[in-house]
Amino acid sequence: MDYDFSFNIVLQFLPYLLLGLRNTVLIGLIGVLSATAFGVAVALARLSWFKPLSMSAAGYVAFIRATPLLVQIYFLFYGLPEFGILLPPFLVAVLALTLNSGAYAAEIIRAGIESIHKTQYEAADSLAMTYRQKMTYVILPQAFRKIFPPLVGQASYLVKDSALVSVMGTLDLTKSATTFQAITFRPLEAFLPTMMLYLFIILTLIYGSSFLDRRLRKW
Amino acid sequence: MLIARTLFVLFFTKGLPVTVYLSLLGFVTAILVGFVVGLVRFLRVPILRGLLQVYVDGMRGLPFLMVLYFLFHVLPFFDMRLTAFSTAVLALTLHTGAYISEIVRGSLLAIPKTQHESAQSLALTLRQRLQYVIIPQAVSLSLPPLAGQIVLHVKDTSVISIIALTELTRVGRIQMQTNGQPLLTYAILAVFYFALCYPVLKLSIGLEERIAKKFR
Amino acid sequence: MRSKRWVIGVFLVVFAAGMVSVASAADLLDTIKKRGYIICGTTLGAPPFAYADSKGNPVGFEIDLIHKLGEYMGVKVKIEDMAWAGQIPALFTGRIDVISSRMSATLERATKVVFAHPWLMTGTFAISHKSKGFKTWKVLNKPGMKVSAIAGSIGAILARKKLPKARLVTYELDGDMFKALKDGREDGGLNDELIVLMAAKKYPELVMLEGNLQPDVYAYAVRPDFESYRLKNWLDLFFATIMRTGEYAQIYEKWIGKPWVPSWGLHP
Repeated sequence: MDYDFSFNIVLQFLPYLLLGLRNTVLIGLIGVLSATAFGVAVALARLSWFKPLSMSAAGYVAFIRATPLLVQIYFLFYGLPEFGILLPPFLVAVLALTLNSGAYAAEIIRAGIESIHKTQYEAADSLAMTYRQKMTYVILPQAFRKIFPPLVGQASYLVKDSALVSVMGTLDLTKSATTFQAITFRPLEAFLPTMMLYLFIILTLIYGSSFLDRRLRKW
Repeated sequence: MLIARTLFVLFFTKGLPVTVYLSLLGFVTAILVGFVVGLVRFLRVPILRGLLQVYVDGMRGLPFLMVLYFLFHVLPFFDMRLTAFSTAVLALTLHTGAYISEIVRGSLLAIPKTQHESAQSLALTLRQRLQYVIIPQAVSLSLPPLAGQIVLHVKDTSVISIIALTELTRVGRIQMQTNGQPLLTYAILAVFYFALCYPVLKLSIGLEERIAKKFR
Repeated sequence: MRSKRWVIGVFLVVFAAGMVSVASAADLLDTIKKRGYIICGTTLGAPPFAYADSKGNPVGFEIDLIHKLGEYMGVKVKIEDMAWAGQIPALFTGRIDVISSRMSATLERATKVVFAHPWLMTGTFAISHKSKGFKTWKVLNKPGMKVSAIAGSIGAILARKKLPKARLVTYELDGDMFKALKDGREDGGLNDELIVLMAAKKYPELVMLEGNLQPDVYAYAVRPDFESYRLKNWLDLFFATIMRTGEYAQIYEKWIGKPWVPSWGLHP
């Protein structure tokens, strides 16, 4: 092996790395929150009795699942300005991840809602609740207990996918590593710390999801 | 429009064959790797089990782009000079293989203990038990998630465009440099991926329903 | 008798050593000739130098030069497309035999690679959206300004050196960079003279700013080792030759649209 790893260079990389980490965490947090909110909306649209709404939601989810995130990102980043919508790369990143993860989240939420036994609905109806009251106080809280663990798992996918926003020039964890590597030509010093950070964040989310799954089953 | 037509032809002739080849080759090798790794982890082989756990966790905990970058930039320092295509296949194999090993392990674990017990009561060896009783049943359980994994795998091939390998997405990007029409270019690109992935997606959902009915 | 055997022994050792040194004199140029093809690295996506036509084939000023090189050397050419920042690593890891792109021969890069005879005079210029009303590149050096360049390019290096107060965004492909400028994402971009001229022609919203940040030249690059020594010499003579025979002028005029005027700056 013709490489001498230098810890000094890792120290040089540190400021870039921390900036990238901060951005990735920010994008991850905001992305997860907005993807969940968007996912609830899409799931409800899917479950609606209004055929055009449920069909367009289904079509939307199918489109997202059958096309790569990278293509979606390029489409938004280079395509939106053609409509006069100019968003900074950070927002395009959050938007792309929301639209993408939101579709997957919608499927999880939909499955959770559908798994609520019919009797719950009947009981709520017998108490003369409106649709909104029924959903907010009876159905969604129960569904949420079932969908929370897989949603945490979906959050891990979101953080994994967030690496792709580096193509837009957003200084996330991946971009900071590739930029440093392009200047210094030292891939190991750049990639090893980056990979360790990703592993830490993503594996915590994955194992957290199975942990929550086991814990919440006891409810 | 002329640009749309050139894009269609280019995607079809220069991009699609590479994407399909990359996906198939990568997935076949990933299945081989995933099957072996999943089986070894299921059998709880000492030492290997721990090492493979590290491997699987490593792949699940890293974005595919990072795996690709790492292999592309670091392997040459270890005297392994692979072409961009080979690096891509290696990255796909390792990454998807880890997920497949989880699917394999999950479907093996899902076979009820009674099957193992009845096989043992018939005095079958471990190998015979696995070969004739457990694995055949696990295979049908694993088909729906495997079909879903194919879709994810094909979508991962688009990431390979970042290391400048000519496949579907790369063709789109390079063409966009000169035609300056991102909406048209990426829309047609999306259509191609959709045509590739949607049938497999539908298949996966259908398989899931069939298997669920069978085991009810 | 003993002395005769001794003499024969010495003769055999010297002969063997001679055979070994002859065998190890096979260098990159020999390898290329034996192999039958040379692997040339560049980055597609920057008209008029290297980009893909509507059939997806590489075309451009650089591409024609590469084919001319193959013609003169008597080998086929394999054009490897890669990210700009990946060219030097690819050269070092042996993925490519020569960097045959529009790489600027800077003194800093010359400490890493060996450059051959320059083939075009150029410089780094700024480009920005007409609506901003900028006149020269110097206005970009203010806090709050966003400038773009290609990752690993001379534009990026100069942006960090001469526009330290501005924020740098790096792109991988030139077309992406100019499209983003046209969209108004950044205040200005840095790229090579002729590429900027082409971009200003393609996007009327963009205008080239005055001031050459750093005049330099394009040149092919090879590894700084003994194996590439003869190849570098061959490349030097190759460029001098085609400039003398008029073949270079032909290619120049085809892609730049003006007749070629030889200049002293191209003398190595």
